[in-house]
Amino acid sequence: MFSKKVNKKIALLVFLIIALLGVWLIFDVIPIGPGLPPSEGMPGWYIPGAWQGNEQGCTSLFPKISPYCNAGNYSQEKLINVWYFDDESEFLKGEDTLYHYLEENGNVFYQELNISEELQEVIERREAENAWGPIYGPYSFNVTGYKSPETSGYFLVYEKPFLKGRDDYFVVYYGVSNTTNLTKEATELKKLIAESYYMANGEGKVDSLKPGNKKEKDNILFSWF
Amino acid sequence: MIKKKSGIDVIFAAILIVGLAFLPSVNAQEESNGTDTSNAVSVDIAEEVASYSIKEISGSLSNFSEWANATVKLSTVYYNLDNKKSAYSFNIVENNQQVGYIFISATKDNYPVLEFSKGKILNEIPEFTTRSKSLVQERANEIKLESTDKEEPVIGEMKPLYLSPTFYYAEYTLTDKKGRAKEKVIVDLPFSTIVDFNESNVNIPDKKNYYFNNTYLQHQQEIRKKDANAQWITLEKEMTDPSSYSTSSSSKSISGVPKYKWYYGCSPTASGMVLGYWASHGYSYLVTGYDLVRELAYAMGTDWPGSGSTWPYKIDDGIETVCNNHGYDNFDASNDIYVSWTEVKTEVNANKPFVLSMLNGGTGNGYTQPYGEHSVTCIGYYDGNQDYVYLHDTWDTSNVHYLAFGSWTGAMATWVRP
Repeated sequence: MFSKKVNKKIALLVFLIIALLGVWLIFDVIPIGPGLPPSEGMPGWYIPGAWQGNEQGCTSLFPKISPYCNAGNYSQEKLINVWYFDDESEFLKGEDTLYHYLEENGNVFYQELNISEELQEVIERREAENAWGPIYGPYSFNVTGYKSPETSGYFLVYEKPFLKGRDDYFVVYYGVSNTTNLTKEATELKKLIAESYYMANGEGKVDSLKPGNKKEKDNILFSWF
Repeated sequence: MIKKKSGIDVIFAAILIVGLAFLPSVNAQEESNGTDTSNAVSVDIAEEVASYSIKEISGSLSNFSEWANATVKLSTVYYNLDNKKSAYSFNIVENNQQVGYIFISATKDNYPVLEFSKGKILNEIPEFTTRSKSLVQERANEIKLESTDKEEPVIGEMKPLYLSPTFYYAEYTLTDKKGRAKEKVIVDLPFSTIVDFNESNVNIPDKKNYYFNNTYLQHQQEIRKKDANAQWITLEKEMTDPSSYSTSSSSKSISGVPKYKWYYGCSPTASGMVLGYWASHGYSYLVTGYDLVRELAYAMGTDWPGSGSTWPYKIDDGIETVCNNHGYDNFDASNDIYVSWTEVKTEVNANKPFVLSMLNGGTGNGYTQPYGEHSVTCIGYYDGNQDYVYLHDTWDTSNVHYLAFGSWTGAMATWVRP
């Protein structure tokens, strides 16, 4: 009985020594950062008001292509849905799945969108609030438009907006429920995109949603330059 | 990414275990229910503390004002790895609807209020519990295939573990048909991975600095226990004599500190907010926004566009370099790895925002995910039953976020004084 107790104490002591040595090594060398939210918190990055409680679960209007998906609802049935990916292959797969779903369930088209005015308004308003965000992406970019009786809007893809070496991909839908009249809603949606775009970071690429084969073609063309 | 985070979690958990070993609780008598009787908090007391605390929170934090008339209901009893009760979680209910949750410590060796938030407790979200069960089932299948008798182990009931804020785990015991334990499987609930506390898979970078070493962590643990004991005494006094509450709480927020969105890395962004404040308070030759954050990132050697991380010991030097670059050689920036509550209050009261760099930082209000290894700008405090720091956290440029003081494994303040 006594030797059992002693053995336990020795085992505990050995464990402590090993753990302490490990801790000493690890905590002498831990850097701070990058300080970005974990994958679960990433969708909120592009949802205005997410951290004031305007963040709901993923919309059921589209397939759930990522486990990291959330939505924000706004006045006049406007919505933003964000799918986040921390892995490039999962992102490409998700983007392709979503694109084919859109083709099967509605009308898909490409369009160039210029949000210069809307973005400038947001920047000025936020500067007046003593806030600053790095907006170094283009103010005009290609989007994928989508029209269906349930919802119509625009898809944008943000690739690696933080660090070149990190896999961060966002597919973001800015839309309105129960309408196909996108022309009528375009002005309001551009304002919503500008609010969300302000929350983006200045690095990486902003582009439309594309199917896998179109993406491959673009990459091949790009490699010529 | 998940694997890396999980590895760091394992290390932090090991530290917590080691830290706890230094607490003078060896002689504590133990009840059969697994709670140390010396400093144990009963569920009834915890419920009283939860009810009292949500009133205080609703009165002091504007985002939680709707909790004023809410009630609390016990949700889960959590354990630590030694099978002792570590925490109780309570759902906050208003008009028969669950509007949030609060965690109360099951021992007076930890702070009374461990964390609170709107939303649901992780182990009440079916998505997380279902994933954890699937992982355990997969492990049971593996054991069956590996065993000679091809017998599938029986999966026991889930035991919720709470090791510190944001460290939620589910423990399952796998037994054979005779009820003998074969293996304990612990699942990290937020990250849906099986963790092995006996194994570390963290890569150690080839770099030396002596900021967050084991002596420092032991010291932090001792301070934490002392502070926690003091907070319990104050809280119990205030609960029996509510008149003492109004005179003991205070708060202060520095106005004019800009809110910068994350760029280049959290440390240069957080430092940028501090210098951005001074740029509009008499030091107008300092640049602001992008130019400032970029200059700070270079000066403090932030790994960009690589990992976006910064060595803690370079933060103060980087700030001073940038001030010197713009003709201000009177700025004194200094790192303090033993940051105390008194120092926080003194600095804020003097209208001097500072950088707070955390190891395993807890969850700020409004979020469901923890800060982790993160630098933020501290712009204020709330001094009450539970102490909070007010932060500009680089994630949100619209709101100030609150974080309970001490909800981290380690923290370093970088004081910036002109």
